[in-house]
Amino acid sequence: MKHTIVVNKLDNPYLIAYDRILRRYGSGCMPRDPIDVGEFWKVPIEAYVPKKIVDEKTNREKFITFQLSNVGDIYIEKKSLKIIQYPKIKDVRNAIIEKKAYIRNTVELDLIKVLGDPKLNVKFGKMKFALFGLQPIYRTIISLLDETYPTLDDIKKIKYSDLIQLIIKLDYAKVSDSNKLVPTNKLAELYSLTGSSVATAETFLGIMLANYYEYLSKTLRIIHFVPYIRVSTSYFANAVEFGERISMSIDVLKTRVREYYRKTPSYTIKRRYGLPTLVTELVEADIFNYEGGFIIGRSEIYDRLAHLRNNMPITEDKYITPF
Amino acid sequence: MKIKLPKYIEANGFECLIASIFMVLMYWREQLPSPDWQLNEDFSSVEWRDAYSQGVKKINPDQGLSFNRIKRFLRQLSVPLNARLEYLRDLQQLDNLIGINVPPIPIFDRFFMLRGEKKQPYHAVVLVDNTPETLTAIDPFLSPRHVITLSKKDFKDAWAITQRATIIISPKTISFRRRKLATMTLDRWFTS
Repeated sequence: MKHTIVVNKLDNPYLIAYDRILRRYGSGCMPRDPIDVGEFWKVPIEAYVPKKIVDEKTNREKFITFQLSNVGDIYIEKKSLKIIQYPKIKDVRNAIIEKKAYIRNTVELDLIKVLGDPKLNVKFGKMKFALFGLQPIYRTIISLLDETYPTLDDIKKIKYSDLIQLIIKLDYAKVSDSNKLVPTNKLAELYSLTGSSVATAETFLGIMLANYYEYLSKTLRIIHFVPYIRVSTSYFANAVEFGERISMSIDVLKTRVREYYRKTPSYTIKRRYGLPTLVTELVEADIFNYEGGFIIGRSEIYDRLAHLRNNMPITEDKYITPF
Repeated sequence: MKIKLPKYIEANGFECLIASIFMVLMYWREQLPSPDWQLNEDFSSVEWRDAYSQGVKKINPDQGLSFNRIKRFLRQLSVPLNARLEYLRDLQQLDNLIGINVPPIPIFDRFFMLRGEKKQPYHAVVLVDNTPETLTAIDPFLSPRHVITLSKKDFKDAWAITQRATIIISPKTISFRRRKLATMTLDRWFTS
């Protein structure tokens, strides 16, 4: 049996681009208005990525959509209306991943800066595995406060130089005329704020991370603190996207971490990922709290990150049920 | 309802399209008993559930589901059906499809229809009935009722946003002759 259907001819650049997008890239991508570039039409592609976030305690859910612009361009020849250049599916996918990574890095770096603020008094020492990689800094700060000043030769011998340079750069220690590492007034001030050598060293770890997170993890490959940062970022990013602190179970947090860090270098540490232990340590460090069996972020940290929502390319769907 | 779907599927996010496709597959499975089907008649069987979860896995969480992927997936399921993506001319074409018992899956801006604001990602439903003023749709988002009556007047504009993109899944025995019309008259083209 033959039936007739009347269809539109693909005779305008927008429709041509839309058809290509729908067929090849996916229903979440859309063309923008064609741009006249001489003999061609350039049609930028945008991606719309929906996300559902649930506050598990109150069972409230929100649907948000990330609008990621310019994830590729389609070029259409004006004369023939033929597509002459288009991105590979892989390129569009990578462009989306890059845009998402940019948003993620913004939240991550802002969170680290907040955590590094001595006023928040985050107990970095409770994150035992993170402490492991930063032992040289921790030990050096404690020994400086205990008035044991190592010489630069000693430091070189035990291969602490790279990390010690960071302490010097931050102006918490300096090299004396006798070639010894000595504390500065800044370290003394920090000590007076915290009241003990151990607390000062722990607070200093936060300052160090706030200033040199990327250098430590990417250049020096000290990655022990990365899982803690990733878990915290995944929680706080979701809370910021939701618009308020949310309650989350460990299982959901695990899914969120996986989603949030999809297609990122995994770090070998992932194999040892024991999320409940990490969460317990983050609670002890005063980054998370437990409330009625759910994880909830510390309010002072959330409040300082809440402004990030204004700069995120997101729109919120008040989930509409018409009847 | 002119077209009676045997099962309604609940979905959200990007899943509306695959849920709509599966509701139509089930419809054709019931309507078209043929030895060519690899999927059995029991829609609550593990077989269908597995097929559906495979379909959901085809959705890229960042990009949604492309039509080429849908076609490949249907081939993989060996369904004796054809799938096509068309940019239909007008509402009459939807009426015609419902009239010959082919449930169309239009893609439209749901948010625009309900709120008057354009907003992606777009939505997909299965149309199952029509009157001169309304269309009846099975909406995967509207669990547990699923059935929604759409005013043609509102739907028309929300559907025009997606260039009236529609997925048509039909048996191989039904063939379509496509009459292509220009999207613009010559007068409008010269003045645009």
